[in-house]
Amino acid sequence: MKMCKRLLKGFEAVRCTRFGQYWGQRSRLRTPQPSVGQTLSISLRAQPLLKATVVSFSVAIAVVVAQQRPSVHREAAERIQRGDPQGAVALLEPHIKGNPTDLRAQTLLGMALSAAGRLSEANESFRRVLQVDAQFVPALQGLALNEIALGRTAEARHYLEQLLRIAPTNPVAHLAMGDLAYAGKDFRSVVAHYDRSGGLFKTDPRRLLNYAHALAESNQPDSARAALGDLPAEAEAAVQFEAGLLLARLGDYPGAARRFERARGNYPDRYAVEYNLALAYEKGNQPAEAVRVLEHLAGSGHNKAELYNLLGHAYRGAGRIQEAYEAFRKAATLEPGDEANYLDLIALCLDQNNPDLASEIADIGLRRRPDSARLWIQKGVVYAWKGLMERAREAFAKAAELSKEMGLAHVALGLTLLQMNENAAAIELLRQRAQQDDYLAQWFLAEALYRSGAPPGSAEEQEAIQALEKSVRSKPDLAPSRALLGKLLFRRGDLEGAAAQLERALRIAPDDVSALYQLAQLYAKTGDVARSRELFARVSKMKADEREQFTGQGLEQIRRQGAR
Amino acid sequence: MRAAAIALGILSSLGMVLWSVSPPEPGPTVRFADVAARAGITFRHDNAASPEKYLIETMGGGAAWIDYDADGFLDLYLVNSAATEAYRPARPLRSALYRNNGDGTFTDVTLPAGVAAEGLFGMGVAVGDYDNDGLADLYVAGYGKGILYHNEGNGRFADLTAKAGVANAGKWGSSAAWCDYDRDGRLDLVIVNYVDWSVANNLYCGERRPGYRAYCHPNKFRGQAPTLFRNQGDGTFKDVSAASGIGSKPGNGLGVVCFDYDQDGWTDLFFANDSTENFLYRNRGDGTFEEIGAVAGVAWGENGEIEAGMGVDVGDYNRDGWPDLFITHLDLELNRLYRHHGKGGYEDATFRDGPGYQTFHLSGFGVGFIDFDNDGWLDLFIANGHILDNIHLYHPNTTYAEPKFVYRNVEGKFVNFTSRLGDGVLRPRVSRAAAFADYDNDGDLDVAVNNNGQEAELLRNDGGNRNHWLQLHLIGTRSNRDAVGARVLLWADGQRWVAEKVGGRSYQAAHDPRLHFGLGKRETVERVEILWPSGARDVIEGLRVNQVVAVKEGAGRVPVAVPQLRLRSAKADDGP
Repeated sequence: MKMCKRLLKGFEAVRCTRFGQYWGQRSRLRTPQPSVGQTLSISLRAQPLLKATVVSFSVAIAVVVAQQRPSVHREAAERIQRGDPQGAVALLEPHIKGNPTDLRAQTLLGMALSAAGRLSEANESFRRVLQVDAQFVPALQGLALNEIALGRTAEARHYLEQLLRIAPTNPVAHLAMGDLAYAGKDFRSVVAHYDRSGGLFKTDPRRLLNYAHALAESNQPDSARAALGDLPAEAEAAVQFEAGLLLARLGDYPGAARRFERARGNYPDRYAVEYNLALAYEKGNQPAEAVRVLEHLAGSGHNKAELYNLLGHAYRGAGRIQEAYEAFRKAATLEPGDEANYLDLIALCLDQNNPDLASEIADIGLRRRPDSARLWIQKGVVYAWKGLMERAREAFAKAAELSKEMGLAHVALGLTLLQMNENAAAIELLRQRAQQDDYLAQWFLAEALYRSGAPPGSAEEQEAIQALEKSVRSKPDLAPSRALLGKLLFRRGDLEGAAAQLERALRIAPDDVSALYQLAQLYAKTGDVARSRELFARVSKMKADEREQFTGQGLEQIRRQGAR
Repeated sequence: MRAAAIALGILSSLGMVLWSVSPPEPGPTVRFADVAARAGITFRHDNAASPEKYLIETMGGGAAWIDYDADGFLDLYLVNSAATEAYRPARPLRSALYRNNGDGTFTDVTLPAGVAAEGLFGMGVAVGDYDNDGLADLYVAGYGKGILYHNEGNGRFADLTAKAGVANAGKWGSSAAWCDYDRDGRLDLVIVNYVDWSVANNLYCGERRPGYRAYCHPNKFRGQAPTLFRNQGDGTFKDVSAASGIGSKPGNGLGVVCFDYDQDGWTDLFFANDSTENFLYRNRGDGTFEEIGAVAGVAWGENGEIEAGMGVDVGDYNRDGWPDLFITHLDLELNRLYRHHGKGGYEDATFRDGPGYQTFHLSGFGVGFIDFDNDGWLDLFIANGHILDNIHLYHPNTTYAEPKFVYRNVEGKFVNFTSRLGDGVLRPRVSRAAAFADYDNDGDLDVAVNNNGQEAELLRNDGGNRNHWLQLHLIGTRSNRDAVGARVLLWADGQRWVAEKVGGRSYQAAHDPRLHFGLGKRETVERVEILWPSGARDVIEGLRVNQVVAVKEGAGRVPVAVPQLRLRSAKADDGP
């Protein structure tokens, strides 16, 4: 006996997608220009000697000098290390004239010239050494590093590979190879080479950031987060900012917020860093913090739709519904052509059980954007909410017509047909859509087949299972598909397969009640009483919590004041 | 004129939802005709509707078939509400007992029988011979208290609530059932309680616009646990809710049925809860119960959904010998069919065998697995009506009054048959309790419906008796006299039926005490086996169809007078 719970079963999926679960995130982090990868490749070309290259030369000098008698070699090495490469050149050139076969002096000359920025001359020196001794590591190393600095990556890679054949554990070579791999976006190689660099990459925050980025790109999110934990607090603001971006991408919003906080003081684009900080707070379930930052930004004269949109989300998270409504309205005023602001307003109204206002807003949005498939979808959801299924069907059909590539419209239409008892039409529609490798349509095709009463072992059930298998292959983290697949497998007696799918669904979405309940029943059947009871208890507790929350919750109505 | 236009609009839109897509299957010619007015049943429920929107106004009143004068014709009891702080009726509100005159008419005998229940905001009703004196007694559940009416045998009842100790004081009793949970041969009383709403904690719900105030969701209040009263055999009862475990979990209870879900010989209890998990209490056989709704798969919907459980019934719809469950819910939820899988639990078969989305836009209350066409398969009858009297303001296509819904069981699959059954079913009403009985003793099951704030309906089944049938009137001796808990196996034409005499069923209702079997075109019943709650067994062989057979525990078949309706011979031709 409820009047508040008006949402049609199954339409939750359509609504939930509003915030990007399947469409991609609406609120996007602001990124610096150029992006992280581009920045690094530019810096490799633009700066002849990175700090790490200097470090590597120091190591090489030590190697060269260690084998020398006290002589001109030692004096030259000291001058290079003191930052007086020209002095070293002045010392070494007369010496080499008298001792043309002194390979160490020749190598030191190459290093001194490198340090002086005279890279081509330096390379001449290194090559002279290598003509005599092709395996002389310091010269080979110096040549390779200079080639990197000169932007000749193919030549550099050639010398580095030669170097690694001679000295497979050479940390500098691995570091440099890692740099090259990063520039070429070969992220697995980045990780492999940096891991063999003896930790040299950690001395440079930028390289450490790149290493973490490479880990993230190599599907090692936990390692990436851990690597960013080594990033020093005093790293420059740009690095902190980019670390924040990466952490946010990895879903570590509190970590991202900490990095953005560190970048906040010195990062040149203050709006970008504070917007990102607020977004990280909002995503990290700290809406009050997000509100604080955003109100400060808004108070500083920034009058942007995206800011007010995010502020709306933050207000909503903080339970400040009316302010959320006003913020979304402001965003829509600032960017009346952006459908997203209307969508957020509609979602807010539906959350607050105000479908009439949601409908009005959908109409306003559609007057501005009659071509917006997403607005038509929301209009359809509002109709379905109000039980106007025929109109819902028309709205979803319009959305499907407007955006043939948007599976959600077709799914919503299919769902509506299903709820209007037009099972055959729903199945046919979803079947066609599913053939386009649309994981949502595959999921809902299976739902439609199941809800049409496909008995275990039937061809329809087999089709449903195949559709779900495709859906989870396309979208492995789609918990509802896995939960339904688990349910169907459970029903047909494939307990092992069912358990695997349901467990996976729960790992993806620990609060997925359907998966929890199915799994509890499955374990009850297999005799795993303890696990079964634990899962049943979790379902019970979730339901009790929901009730408790509902009992204590006031029904807040959004005022229409100011609604356009 | 305007009202007529609106009604037409409502009917046409409902028709669109209900029947435009799935044309009814061919099947028997059966009609349900509302003969209440002609039969003299003038009862109009008053739900005490007020601007304060008290939650109790939504519940409706019960309906019970009771042969209070033991004349072989079932009489009808209808429950009413009472005045509230926000509603003062011109005359006191009364429940009503209608005596079946045996000629198709009824006479209001409420006052002489002494069962008006004035002052009680009544809800459900249960009928049972709790003192085994051969006379059916009444228990009327209600808000704040209940009443036990003992049948004195002289056409009068005595209010023995206080003496018996079954007032259920302070609770909001919704439905009630008689069953013998401890198998001591005496009927115990189970009451399903709703929530702790009171005038003092009433809230404003719905939009703050004129006309938009709405009844609150029950979860705005605390749920109440069921009550179990143990019959001590001396006219008194003991509240064993806590000791038995039945009172251990609060739930917003509305429907109850007592049945032996695992067929271990001990009566278990199922409670349909509104927006909280349903309870299935397994009887341990030692006076205590274990709540296993979740493990048995009936606590929630198949995906763990909590729904607004209202009415519930038990029946072996697929004839596999196991008791299946059907639970009605609000609109935008599904009426759930739970198929017993024979291994201690249930599978949600709502989509596989059941109605699926067909009743998605209706709010179901009273429900019965009844074989309305006597073809040998249990059909489903659902009485619908929304909770919110202003639902049209929120949902333009939803109406407060709704048609009933009937599914015909076609060999284990339910098919919508509503549009074929006549105006009695199609006319929109705010239906609540639905009580099933063959009140005219013609061999098919009729339905009495108590509608919230409206006239009651007596839906006479015309044509269901074109197929053959058999009714069993069971009389316990060592077992409770009503034989609640008895299990019957019947063989006809080489096929088997299994049925149990259960307690409760539907919503706030009590039904024909006889077990009814539809037999299709079968001419004889080869064998009937009765397993009594006491453990005794009786077997009867070689029965003719189309008769009521009385069986006494330990004595076998005994003569019983089953009077035929006078004056009327061909009901099917006697249109409404």
